[in-house]
Amino acid sequence: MENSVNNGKKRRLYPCDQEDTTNNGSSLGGGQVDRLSSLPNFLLGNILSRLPLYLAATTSILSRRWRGLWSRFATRLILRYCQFSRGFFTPYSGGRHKFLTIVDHILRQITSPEITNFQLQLYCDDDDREFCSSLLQSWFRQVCSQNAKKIEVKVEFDSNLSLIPLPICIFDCHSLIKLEFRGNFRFNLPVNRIITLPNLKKLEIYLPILNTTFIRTIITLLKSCPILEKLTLILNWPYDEFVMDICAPNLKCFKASMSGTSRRSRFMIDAPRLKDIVIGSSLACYNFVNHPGRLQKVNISFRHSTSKGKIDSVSVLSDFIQGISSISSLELYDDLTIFNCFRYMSAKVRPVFHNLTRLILTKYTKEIENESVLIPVCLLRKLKYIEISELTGDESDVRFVKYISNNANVLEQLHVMVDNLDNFEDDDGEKDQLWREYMFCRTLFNLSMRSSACEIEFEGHYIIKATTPNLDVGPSIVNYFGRQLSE
Amino acid sequence: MASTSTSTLSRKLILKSSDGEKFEVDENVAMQSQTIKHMIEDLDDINSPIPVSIVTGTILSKVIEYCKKHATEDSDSDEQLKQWDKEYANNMDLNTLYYLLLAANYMEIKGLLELITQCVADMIKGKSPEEIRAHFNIKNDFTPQEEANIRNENPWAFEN
Repeated sequence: MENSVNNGKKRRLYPCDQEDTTNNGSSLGGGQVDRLSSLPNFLLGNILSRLPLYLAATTSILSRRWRGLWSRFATRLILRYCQFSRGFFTPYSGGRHKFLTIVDHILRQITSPEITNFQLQLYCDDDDREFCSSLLQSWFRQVCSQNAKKIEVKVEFDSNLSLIPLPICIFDCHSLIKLEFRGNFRFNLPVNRIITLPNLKKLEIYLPILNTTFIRTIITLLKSCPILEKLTLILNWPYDEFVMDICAPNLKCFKASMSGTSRRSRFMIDAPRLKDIVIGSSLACYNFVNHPGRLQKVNISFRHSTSKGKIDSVSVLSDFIQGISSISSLELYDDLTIFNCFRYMSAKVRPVFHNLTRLILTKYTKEIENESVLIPVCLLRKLKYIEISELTGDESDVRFVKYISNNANVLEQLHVMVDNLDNFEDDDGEKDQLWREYMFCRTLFNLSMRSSACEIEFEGHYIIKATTPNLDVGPSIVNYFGRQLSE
Repeated sequence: MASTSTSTLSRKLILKSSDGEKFEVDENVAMQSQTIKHMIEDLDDINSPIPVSIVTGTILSKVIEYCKKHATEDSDSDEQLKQWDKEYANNMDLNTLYYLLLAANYMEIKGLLELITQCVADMIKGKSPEEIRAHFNIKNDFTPQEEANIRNENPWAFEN
């Protein structure tokens, strides 16, 4: 066996190897060989599948060898109206209609056995509703039969009230790993039979119009996805009360954003492997069927919920607060309701938050009469990392930071980010901003920290970073100007 | 450089190119090729050279360079590795890329195959059909009429 390979005479399999490598292929010598075209189909197809669809399609014109090759290997079908409309359609309704026919024309040519990604984004005029609806049916039937792995569909409608049905075949597409749909869909599952999406890991549903049958549908759909890991629900809720069961044994990340939800509406979450929760918009009840002991991160951004009274939010949130007691990281956006609520809970049920070490605040609500007590001291004393962004450096910000420095006794890092004012029309605006940053930064570095080992990081528009002062020498400020001020 | 005492982890393999050049490589370097992995599973004598029968020494040395870099994954961050990949591919001329592509395919080295196909795809991007033909020496064997017909089949592609 060895001999046959060693057989000196057939030294090179490719006769012109050595000569050609010294001679760069891009020089246009007439004798150059077209190596690319001599690659086997599947390798050329691999290259073509990495191109945007329109570019792949233009290769048909290169030579006979390339003609139609793209359509047999296209695996990523990214069909977005906004991309196609660039320099091609004018954004009037005729263009939208034309886009539908072009997508249809493209899909009819695609014969690849596996579609890894089908991304569709289109606008639908009211006149085109029937047309659009029937096209969607046939497109989805096709990509599902071509073993689609990822489907992302976003349809925007002229009118908010007319719904079109989401093609049912999606729910029989066993190859699906990710499914995302957004738009005015009427959303029904096949009746009288059990559906299953055995490979679905990511499900994202954005529905602007919702009714009670949708809740049942979503609940059933979730039960049909045994390995679901990530669930995003962005729903507009016109009704007052509902109960939605989220039963997902493998769910790791749950994101929910409800608008128009009543605080009596309730999510019953049964997901023992949950690690990450992101909830926002209106306040609703988030309850856990079993304590999610693996939960690590919670991100909350309820809009304007603080103004609606403390006691009410306590009743809504206290179960949730108990449920998230295992977290190590808490992120809050413009809302400290949860701390408020924590304070009003009776000592018997108030959790200790053994693992909590990180707190990330984006803005904090200043209307509250005394913001300096907003983070309960018992929690502040556990924190090792605090990040506060979108500060302006005004008096209440200074008070807030002082309160933290006085109480956080094991803090290792305090990261403060100052909001840019965008009114830089004149030099005065810039100077103001710089002065404000300088003063705030100085105050910050003159704070006596309860935790002596704490490192402070300041991030402003001009003063980009200022780090640990050496305590023996006294606080010092490292200024760094990202850009020069014009005098 | 005799076999060290550190057991199977640092075992050496000898790869032999189509033109008889021999390369001694660590087993974990060579094992990035699925083809070689399967070959040595069936091999009794690990010390005999493993023929990589359609790859020349010039190309094989470049393949090994790639595999070595990717075998010591913990030394570099993902970012650094990506940068290295980029420079590695950018330093190749078209012919070398072509043979590397065939080699990566034959040796079943998924990362290298992806790197080279992406690199060629990037060369096609931003070029007109005429420029693509010129770059890769593709001979246009259509009549003007045929070419016009193909444009008309998918006008959306050409109007971008």
